[in-house]
Amino acid sequence: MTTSAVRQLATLLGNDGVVTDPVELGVYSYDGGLDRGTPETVALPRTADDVATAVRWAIEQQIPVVARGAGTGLSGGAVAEHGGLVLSFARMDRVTELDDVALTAAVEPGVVNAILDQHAAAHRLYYPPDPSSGRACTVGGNIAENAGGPHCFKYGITTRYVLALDVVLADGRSCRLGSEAHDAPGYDLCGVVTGSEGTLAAVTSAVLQLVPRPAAVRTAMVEFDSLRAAGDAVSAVIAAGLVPAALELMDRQIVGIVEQYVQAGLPTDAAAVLIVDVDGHAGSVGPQLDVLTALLEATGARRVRVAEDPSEAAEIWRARKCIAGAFSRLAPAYYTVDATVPRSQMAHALELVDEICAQLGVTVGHVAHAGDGNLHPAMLLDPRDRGQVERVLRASTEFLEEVARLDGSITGEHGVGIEKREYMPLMHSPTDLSAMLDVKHVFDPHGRFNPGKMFPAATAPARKVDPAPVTGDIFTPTSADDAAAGLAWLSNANRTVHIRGAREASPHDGGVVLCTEALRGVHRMAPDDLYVTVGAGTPMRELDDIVSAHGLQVPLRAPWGDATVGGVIAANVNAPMHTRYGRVRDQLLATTVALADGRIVRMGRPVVKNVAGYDLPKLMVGSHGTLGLMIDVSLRLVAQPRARTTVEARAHDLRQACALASAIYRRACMSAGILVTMEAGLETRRAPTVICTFEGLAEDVEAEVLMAREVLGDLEAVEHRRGGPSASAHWAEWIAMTDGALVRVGVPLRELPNVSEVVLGADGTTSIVADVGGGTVFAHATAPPDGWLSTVRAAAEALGGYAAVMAPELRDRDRIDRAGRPPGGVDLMWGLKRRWDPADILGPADLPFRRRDEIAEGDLP
Amino acid sequence: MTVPPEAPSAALLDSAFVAGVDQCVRCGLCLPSCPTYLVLKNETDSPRGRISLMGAAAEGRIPIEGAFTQHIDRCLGCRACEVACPSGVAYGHLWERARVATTQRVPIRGFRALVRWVLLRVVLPNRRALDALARLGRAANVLRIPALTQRVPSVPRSVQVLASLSPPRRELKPRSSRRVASVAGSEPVHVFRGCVQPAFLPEIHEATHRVLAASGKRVHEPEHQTCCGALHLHLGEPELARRLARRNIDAFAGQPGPIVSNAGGCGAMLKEYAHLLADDPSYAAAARQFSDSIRDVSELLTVSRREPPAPIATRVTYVDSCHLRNVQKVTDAPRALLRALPGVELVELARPDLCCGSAGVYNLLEPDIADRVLDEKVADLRRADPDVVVVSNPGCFLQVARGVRDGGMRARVVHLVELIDELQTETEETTS
Repeated sequence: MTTSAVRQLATLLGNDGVVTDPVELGVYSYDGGLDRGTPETVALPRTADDVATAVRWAIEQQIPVVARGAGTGLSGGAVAEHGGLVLSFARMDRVTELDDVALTAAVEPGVVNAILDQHAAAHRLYYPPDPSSGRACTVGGNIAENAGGPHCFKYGITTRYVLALDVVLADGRSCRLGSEAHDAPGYDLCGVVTGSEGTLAAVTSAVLQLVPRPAAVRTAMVEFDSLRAAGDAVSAVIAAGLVPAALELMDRQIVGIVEQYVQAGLPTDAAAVLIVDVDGHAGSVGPQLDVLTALLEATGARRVRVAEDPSEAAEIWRARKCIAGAFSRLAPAYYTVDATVPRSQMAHALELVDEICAQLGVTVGHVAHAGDGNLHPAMLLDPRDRGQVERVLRASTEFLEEVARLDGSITGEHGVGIEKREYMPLMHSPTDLSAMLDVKHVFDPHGRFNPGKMFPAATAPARKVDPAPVTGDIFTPTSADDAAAGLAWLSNANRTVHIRGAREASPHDGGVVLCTEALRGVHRMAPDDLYVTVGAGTPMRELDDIVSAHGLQVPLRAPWGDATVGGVIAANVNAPMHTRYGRVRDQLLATTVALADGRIVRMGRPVVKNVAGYDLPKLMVGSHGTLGLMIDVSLRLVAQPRARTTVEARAHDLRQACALASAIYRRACMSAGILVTMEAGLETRRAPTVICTFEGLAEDVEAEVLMAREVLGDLEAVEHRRGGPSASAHWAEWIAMTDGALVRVGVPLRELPNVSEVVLGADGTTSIVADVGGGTVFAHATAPPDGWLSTVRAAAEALGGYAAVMAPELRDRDRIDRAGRPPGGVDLMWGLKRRWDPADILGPADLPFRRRDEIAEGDLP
Repeated sequence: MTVPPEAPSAALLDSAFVAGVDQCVRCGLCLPSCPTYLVLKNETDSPRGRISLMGAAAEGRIPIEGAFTQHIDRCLGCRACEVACPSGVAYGHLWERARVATTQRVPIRGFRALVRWVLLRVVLPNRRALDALARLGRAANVLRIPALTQRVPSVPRSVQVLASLSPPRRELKPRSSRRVASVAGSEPVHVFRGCVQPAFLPEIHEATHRVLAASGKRVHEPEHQTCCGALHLHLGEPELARRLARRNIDAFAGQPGPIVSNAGGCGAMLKEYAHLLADDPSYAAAARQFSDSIRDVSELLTVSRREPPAPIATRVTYVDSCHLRNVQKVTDAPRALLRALPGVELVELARPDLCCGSAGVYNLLEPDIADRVLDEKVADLRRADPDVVVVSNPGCFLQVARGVRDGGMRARVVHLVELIDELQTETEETTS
């Protein structure tokens, strides 16, 4: 890099926008971890254009681009190990929009996590991911690392809240990945960029989902006489189906250190302390605490101290959030291990760390996001004592090896970065890594973005199963090997493959129907760990029966009676329960996938916190069987709600119905579905209806029912009553009864009434069920007029949404265009498809977006 | 891109200093607490960045001249980062050492050096010089010279700022009983006078005496005391600061009871005497005792709530003095007093922890950054929309008053003791 090149960048961004003095560059050589690397230049962009300019400049200079937020990361993600350009997002720190209808925030990446939540709080909204560095770390960094935090036990990690990302790609182009409209057709590139540690693209803004802020929060501190007792208590809480907002564990060592610093009156003589948050409506937090206290005391808690007021609660949390720095009072440095184990293994894992550390003479303290099984053993060290550093690293290695054996993750929330990259093979086979590297090559073929991060220096070649011939038109694999061998053979034979849950006549194109019925059954039901692993060909009904016997549920509901688990995931269709439980993408923890080239890839792990590499399971959601065959899937389990109540209201017209539903959505924390429905027929009979279902603790549900009825009364609904089928049941029944054209239309929520009007048209032949919150309208027309789909699609696309065809009748390529406008990053989707299915045999009729050759040159994005 | 090696400055090369720097684990939690980081958004101007520069300088990896000096000098010294730091890094002490290094290595020349010499050695420690200067300032005010300087572009920015800081003619409410307390209380307190405040803002000094007396204190003000030395220390002249510290310790020697300060910055410095003179065998013990007896005036006052409570007549916003908040850790006492005052509604700022940009003479040395820091404070004040802005340090007083005036706000700026004095006197008058 020449001086004139640097001068050129300074001209582009302004002198104030670049750092070039070698002395000053040293200030950008570290993050919160132990790795170091000095950049050659730092850019301080103020706009997305500045970012694109800087990235294009770096491409010309052929130097690495390393994104940086506040530099609070712990795995070296923001460290410019190979020099190059650091893009500091500190100056892009605005919340640009807060949508009070859709409950979303558009933010620049440099906005501080806690500041975003403050903005949300001003609107009585909540941004739940809250890493311990929340008062300093940036949302951009959170997205890069897919950050967690204490409240993820109840609310999920960052990726659940990322709807769309504006990015600058490795060729300097800008585009939007994902969509404000939920579940837009296409591969979930937004989901894979989230957690990609800055190795795929530079994010310039994000649209984030917020949720209504719980009215009340109470905090308690629970003391135990042993670590094991604390671990057991956590398991008991989970087994009882209680969902505290947070469950944080600290051991005696940590409590002692932190108490010195904060003087919050922590019990320094307890062997372990749990910090428990419960949230909900004012009337529910008290009873929640009572139930919890009784349970904890019954399982060995020595004392439960409930914070009397918010300031006492704040003190307790301040203590928890100060742990990181407080260590430095004991030793010049410390090494925080970050790993997740299945919850039931937590007590075992904690003891194991103590054993390993005792053997190696390493001092260790424990903190853990206990509800998630996410452990942070902190090992004290003096960086100048080489021997000690080596012992600490050996302790960490031994522990992580065991974590991998327990089917956990070598990093739950800190990321791989530099720190853990050589540990990746503990968890991922060379084949798994090859699938991740495919993603990297598709996004960033020249390795511009954050080179060297996340992947080990060298990996063994991927294993490909030898092809085995498939005879006949129907292929029914019985195992991953069987499937991969058959797919490899079919790839060589260049025969198309249509993945179906049930047997079906072979298609006209001479291809093969791949039937998943032999990939059926429960592999592992782990109620303590809150996951279930089943064959992808397992019918949803069968799964429901098994998990409900344990008082649990998989928050997926099939619209079709014979749907398989794999089918629901591949189609990315679910009942409107996401407001309470998250979308389909949030349920899939792990999956084993047979790729068409004979590779078998294990994606994800059956733990809710796992950021070891790209979040590949996201790509399978909504992939319609075009990327690979899911062999088995691990799904998140949640407790069955203790109470469920539905409120139904009739409105004067569609607009009023949408307004009523929106007002309830705006305030409901416990809604498990809010629908607006309108039947086909004469104007007078169409009676727009609002159906809201609330699930959870009885007190919360009652409070929300009251709230909903108050809203319905205030806004003058025609009539409203309690009872009726739940929103999800209504949705499923309605879809099951449809016959003819069925289209899923998604728009940003504020456009729901507008798009619904277009969908309904004037002739009364269309009926709709609109999922408020998702911004999704399911539209059914028995005899759609010519051009109906085009009209609907044009309207949806004009409003920033999409229209996807669901019913087979409309999937016939000869009659109708399945895919609308190409989604952002469609070229990356083509690229990924080419990598994972090189012979292009999978689902030729099912691709959720158009092929390259189907798009006129002028329409290319 | 290599940095020429050079010998580290003697002032930095000290094992205690290096240990202090090493205590920083670079977690970055200090960043949002730093006013210069918030306005510049460059990590070179953040606490963690400065500490890393100090480490590099101490190890001789970077020169003192240039970027190091620039970023050390740009620090306000507000010490908000110390409160944010979970590792307990003593940033303030490290920074003071770094300032010594920059002062030694990067000599200030010419007119600036002369001003500095006169200010630190002649003016600040000398009451009569200060009074004379204050009279000059008032005369200049009458002649509208400050306004004039703003209009002449060739006047240096720091002079313009200085002129705009000269104390405004103050509209104190007429008071029938502008008397120093006639009733002698029983508890002795010893008032630390300070330097700039009694000369330029004498009303604060007078009010301090009255409110202490009204709280039942026997107020005493020892002769021979002098400037606290904070400016000297922060401008990299620790020896001058020690000289003043010894004079003050001598002046207050043998007096039982608390020493009371009404200036957040001075009080913090007085509390630091123990640290400053820790290596001085003949003064270390006395310095410890002296520092232990320092109290902020707000900690010694009592305001009795009156029943029935008076209707809310005044929205008051309290602007913390950084050194009162971050070094002396006094945040609740002034607020409690304000809440107890009749008719007062206390309206908090969104970021009460942020400096106003005064920071001793920072606003004269780094006027542009100081103005941006002040802009943030004024924007926050505007959101709070108070009738009265209460401060507890003379630097804050002048800076905030300037910000409020230039920002076109209608709020009145007063010292805490002035408001207490005013409202208590009013109540006494109405009740008697």
